[in-house]
Amino acid sequence: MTFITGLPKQTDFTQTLDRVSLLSHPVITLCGIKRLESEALFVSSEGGGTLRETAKVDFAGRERHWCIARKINGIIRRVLLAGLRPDNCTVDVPCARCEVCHFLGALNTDENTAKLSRVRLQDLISVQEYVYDEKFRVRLPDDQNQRDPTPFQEVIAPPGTEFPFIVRIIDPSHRDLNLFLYGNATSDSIGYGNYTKLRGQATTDWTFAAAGMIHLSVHRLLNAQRTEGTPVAEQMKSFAESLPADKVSHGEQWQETVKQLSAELKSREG
Amino acid sequence: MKAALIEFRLESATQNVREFYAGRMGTQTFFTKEAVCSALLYEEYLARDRKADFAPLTFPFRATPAIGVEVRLQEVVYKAGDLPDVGLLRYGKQHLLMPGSVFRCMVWGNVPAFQAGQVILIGKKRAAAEITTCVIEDVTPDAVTGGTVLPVQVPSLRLPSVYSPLAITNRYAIIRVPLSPDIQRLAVHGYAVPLLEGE
Repeated sequence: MTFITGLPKQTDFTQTLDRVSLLSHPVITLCGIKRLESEALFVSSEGGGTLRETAKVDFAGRERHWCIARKINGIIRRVLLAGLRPDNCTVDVPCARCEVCHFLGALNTDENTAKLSRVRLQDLISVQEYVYDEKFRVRLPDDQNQRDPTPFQEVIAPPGTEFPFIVRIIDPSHRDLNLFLYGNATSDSIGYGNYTKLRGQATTDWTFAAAGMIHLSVHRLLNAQRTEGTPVAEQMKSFAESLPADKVSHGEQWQETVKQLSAELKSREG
Repeated sequence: MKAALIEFRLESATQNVREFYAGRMGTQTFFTKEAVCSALLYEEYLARDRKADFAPLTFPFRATPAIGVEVRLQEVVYKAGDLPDVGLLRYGKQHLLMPGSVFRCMVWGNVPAFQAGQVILIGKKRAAAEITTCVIEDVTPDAVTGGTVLPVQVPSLRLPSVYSPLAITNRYAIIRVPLSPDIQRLAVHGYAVPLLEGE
């Protein structure tokens, strides 16, 4: 019996909660590592000429690859919209009434309604240092009779790049965990960033889930990895072990839960 | 009375939205005192009446705005949705406060036991931030003129006679007020905040 089994089956998404304190309100924090399975290009700037460069950030003593959280959030929203098909709700005009909007938040400017997201993702900042490695590539013309291919350059995040991934879900339920873990797993296989037909795929290893607003900092994880050489996964594991047993789920039991909830989008009860 | 000097470092990119026109969304380089108090109290609106956005908020303690100590800004390209002309910002540029930016503020009153290492959520989309410095002291207001003075946030229509403005909006002004013997102040860890009437 872990705190996961004690979660409600599903959140009543018709409830109208006003101002709440996350210290007294249920919150669950999921921690893991997202690892690129193929190269990725997280473009955040226009670049110059034919050069497209993956985004970077100076953080914890190094330049690192950076993927802003909204890119991940956007793919998960599309996956859930495709899976649940709520009426009159699209990425362009979210209805602010359906399960997806209640989970990921929505702003409907036509009706002037807003729902804050109950899911808070942190930006992905890589464990590995950003290395400027300009790849020279060519795009062949669609018309085979044309001769001149278009050359361009890219600076990509290489496969194997790892990112600590911390997610907080407010008012969590089993259904929410299913939505998020399924959405994340499917998004991982679709890919993130530019041109996901061929790249941007990832896998997420979820290390643990803990009840409440745990104080785990990506900066500290990355800094300790840089200065002491302790792998981020190991730090996460020892952090989980330091939490009270009734407030954390990790190890085989947690992996089994992740496996079950990531595999399919279960139909809503009731 | 207790007062705390707090510094925090962003772990995700965020904004305190400034101007928003012509496909460009700028950011202020500070967080308002309401943002600071809400973040430190972990307060959130899950569903809200948007008309109530401008209702004044009450908190058990007062705060200065969080001013950038080391602010990293980056302009990024923003692209959302599939349709070009629906909703708010669909395609344009955003100025972001980048991960690694550090901010400093002071809070006083009924101050909870904050501690370094605590993770708070602040700014647009509630970016995670880690409290890196937290010094809590018992303080009594005095009229000493020493200490590095932190800027304060006051209503735009209630400005003191002597100040230097850092930012002025319709709702509030962020100003630096020089200390003088007729102004009470609170000091923590070498930083001082003037106590202004009506602030």
